[in-house]
Amino acid sequence: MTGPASAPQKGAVRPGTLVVGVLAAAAVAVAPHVVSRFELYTITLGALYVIAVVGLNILVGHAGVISLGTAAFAMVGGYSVGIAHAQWGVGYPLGSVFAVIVCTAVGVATALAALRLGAFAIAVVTLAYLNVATAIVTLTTSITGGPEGLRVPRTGFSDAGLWYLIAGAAAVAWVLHFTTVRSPFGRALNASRLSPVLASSLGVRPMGVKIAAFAISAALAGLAGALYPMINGRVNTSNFDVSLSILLVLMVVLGGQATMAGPVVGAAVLTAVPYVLTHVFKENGNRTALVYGIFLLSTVVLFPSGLVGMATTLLHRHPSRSHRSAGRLGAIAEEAERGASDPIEQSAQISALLEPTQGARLEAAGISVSFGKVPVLEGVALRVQPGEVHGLIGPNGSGKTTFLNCLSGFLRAQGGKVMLDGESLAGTAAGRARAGIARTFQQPILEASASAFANLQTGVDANRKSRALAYVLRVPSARREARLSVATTDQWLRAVGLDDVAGYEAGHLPPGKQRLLEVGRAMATRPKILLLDEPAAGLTGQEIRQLEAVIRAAQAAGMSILLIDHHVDFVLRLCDRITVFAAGSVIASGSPDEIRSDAAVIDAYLGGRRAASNGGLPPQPARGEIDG
Amino acid sequence: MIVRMVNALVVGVEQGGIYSLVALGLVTVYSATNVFNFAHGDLVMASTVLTVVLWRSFGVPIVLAGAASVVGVVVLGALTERIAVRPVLGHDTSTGWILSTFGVSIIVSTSFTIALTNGTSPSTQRFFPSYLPFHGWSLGGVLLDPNKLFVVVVAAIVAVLLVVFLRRTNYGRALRAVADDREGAAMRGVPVARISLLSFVIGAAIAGVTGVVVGPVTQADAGSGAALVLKGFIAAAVGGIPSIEGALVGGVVLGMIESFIQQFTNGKLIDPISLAALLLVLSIRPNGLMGQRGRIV
Repeated sequence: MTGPASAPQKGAVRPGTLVVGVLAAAAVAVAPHVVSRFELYTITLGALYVIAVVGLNILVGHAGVISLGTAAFAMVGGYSVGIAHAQWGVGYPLGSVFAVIVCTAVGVATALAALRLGAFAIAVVTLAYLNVATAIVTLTTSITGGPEGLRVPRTGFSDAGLWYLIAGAAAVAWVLHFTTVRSPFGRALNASRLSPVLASSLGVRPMGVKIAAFAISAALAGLAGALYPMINGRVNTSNFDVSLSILLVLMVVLGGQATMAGPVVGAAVLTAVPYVLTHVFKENGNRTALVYGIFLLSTVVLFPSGLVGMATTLLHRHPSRSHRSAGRLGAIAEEAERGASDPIEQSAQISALLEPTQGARLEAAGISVSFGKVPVLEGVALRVQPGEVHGLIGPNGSGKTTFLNCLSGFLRAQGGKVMLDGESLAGTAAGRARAGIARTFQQPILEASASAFANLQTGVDANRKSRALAYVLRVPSARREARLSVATTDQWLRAVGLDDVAGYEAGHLPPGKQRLLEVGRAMATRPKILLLDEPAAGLTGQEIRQLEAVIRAAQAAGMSILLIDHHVDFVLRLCDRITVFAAGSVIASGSPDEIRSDAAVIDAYLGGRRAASNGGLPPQPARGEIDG
Repeated sequence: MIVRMVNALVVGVEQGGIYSLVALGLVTVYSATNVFNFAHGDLVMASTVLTVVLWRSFGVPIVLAGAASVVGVVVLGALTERIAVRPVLGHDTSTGWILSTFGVSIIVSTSFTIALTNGTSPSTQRFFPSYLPFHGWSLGGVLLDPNKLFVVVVAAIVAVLLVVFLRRTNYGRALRAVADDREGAAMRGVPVARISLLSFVIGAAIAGVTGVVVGPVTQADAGSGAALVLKGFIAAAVGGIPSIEGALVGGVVLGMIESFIQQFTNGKLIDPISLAALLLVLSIRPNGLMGQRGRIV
């Protein structure tokens, strides 16, 4: 693989990154010697913000969950240290650990309780947390010292020493944020934010990863709050107010949600803005808050990707927005149209990628579904044998997709059961995906603004063995697996004929390539059975042949496949057996030849009289769709 | 004891009327756009402050002052839809509207804070006297506050009007169709953009009316918006979003919980306990008291 497209995904540190890192370290080192005492205090506070903001970036930017309670978590952290010091006489390190544990627990509890109500509930409930925390502090004055709080002596640190400590902690937090976002967990978060349905279909539990993101954010907010008394010498309720929560969210948004540099840029800019407002314009708090409100609204509406996103666009660093423009994409599409990739080579690649796969036997019996009083499926039974390509056809509205939703766990059937290799399947879509059922969607669900490479990698991720934490800490086994994942993703892109567009945003690809990308991603999870929902819809003849080659190759490797499509010729050509639905029931099942001449099928598709004069479906129908 | 219990019940219903009204406004906007307007509480606050300032400081008759405030708040609501909500619905971050309407909330509340504190008074609060020609009644030790009862009556009327509007009129049905499937409704010829704007206008009108009728109860305070939107949302969620009846009932349930805490325990516990009540109700009935199960895919 020589394409520059996947280069950023690979582990090596780029020279540019190294230069920035060295410059940043040098700036941190000389800062105490060149700024005034008050300015040092200000930038120390800014570094402290970074710790909370990287956590908030994971939560807001990547998980799409908005917490307006960061100040409350920081307050819990600060008071935890204060209590640990005053009550138990332990120092900062232990006190901070205690603070982080408390905040993580509160974060998990909040997320568990409020996440299923949706993102707004989290925002509103967490906004109230500060009142709750303040009320609790006031009610437990004997332990917490009440609103006046507790004195926490900063043991043995000079101002400069404190700056080094907190800047160092911020740097560590930022690096961990970086490795988290670049790990399978980070990709799972992005998928969950953009489409919980997509995440589930890849075996990711959207709620689970969002709860984890909330825990991370709460823990980092707690850590920042725990370090705060070191700067201030004491902790009290007035250190933590609603405008702090707003400020921290604004740092994420203004810096650039879900960008790597965003948290640092946002924290830097918004540490500088109040400094300038108060010291240059002599402002009071109210107008600062008004400025924050205007910043927040205008950034979200006008520049949703923030300062870093804007800078990236201006500097043309993003491949698909710059030299690799739409014109070149068109040229690639034409090229692909002329010379298809070699089917034999393609088949060999896919077999190699899927090698130890054993296709499963899928049995569904008595599946019944009704929406309200309208029956959609009535006691449907179907069996896919191991390694078989099984077609499922039927007029529009006959219940094909509903049936597929039942198999993959997105819809709970009112009756019947689904068995995989004789084992009864229950539970969620994510659980079934993990059991080995992969699927595609009638409307492809892709992360439109991510590259084709990144989209396919979420499928490869389903096979990872190392734990998420191993990836975040970059332990050797996870590093090996990560390198393997990049190589495997490249191979998959080549196998489905997308290696030349690996670096393009998926949303910019032509529809045919989007389909192939989605099929490739589903196959890359190495399922025991693959459910394809109208994969050929909207494809050109050339693209259909490409898709056909990919499906045949997967079958050759042993995968079981259930294929829904309206291109009857395509289905007849490709499938070993075919089941036909009409009006929610199975009307026929058999080999392609049997289906071709089945009276009930012809009746359902063409109507009785025409069928009689035609003598059945044409043996080699012209390319085109037959709709009900 | 019995009198205290009955008093707590009455106060609960009275207090609940406010939460019901806020919840009704939130749910109206949500039911058409799947967006909760974070600034809804600030719209209520704006209406209260505008009414009392026009009435008391400029001598405008109360009815005219109230009407002008409602109109002003409707304009604010329409601007919110145009400036803060519609542009972000197309972005690929699904939560943009939370942040943008939160931005509106900050802008409205700080603007009013600045306006109120810049004049003769350093306070963000203004006294809002009763404008009803009744005083309180006492029935065997149970106190009835006409201003609060008026809020409850208005909440019930608004709820009835909303139910009739949503179920019986074409615009109401269009509103529900847009909420159910924006693209599908657009394809069937529903003017989605106009319906979305309409829902914000109706929501803001409810906020405006809320602000006028709750004034004598809550007083005018530029900083009250965030608490109102929280309580209104809890009421709506407890009742079952997006049920209109649920918003009405949820508000009363929340008011009851709070008044019993107030009567029998420490008043500082109101916020923690009402949040805990929300989480408890939702863990038992995830779709609220009157909500229905949503679609899965």
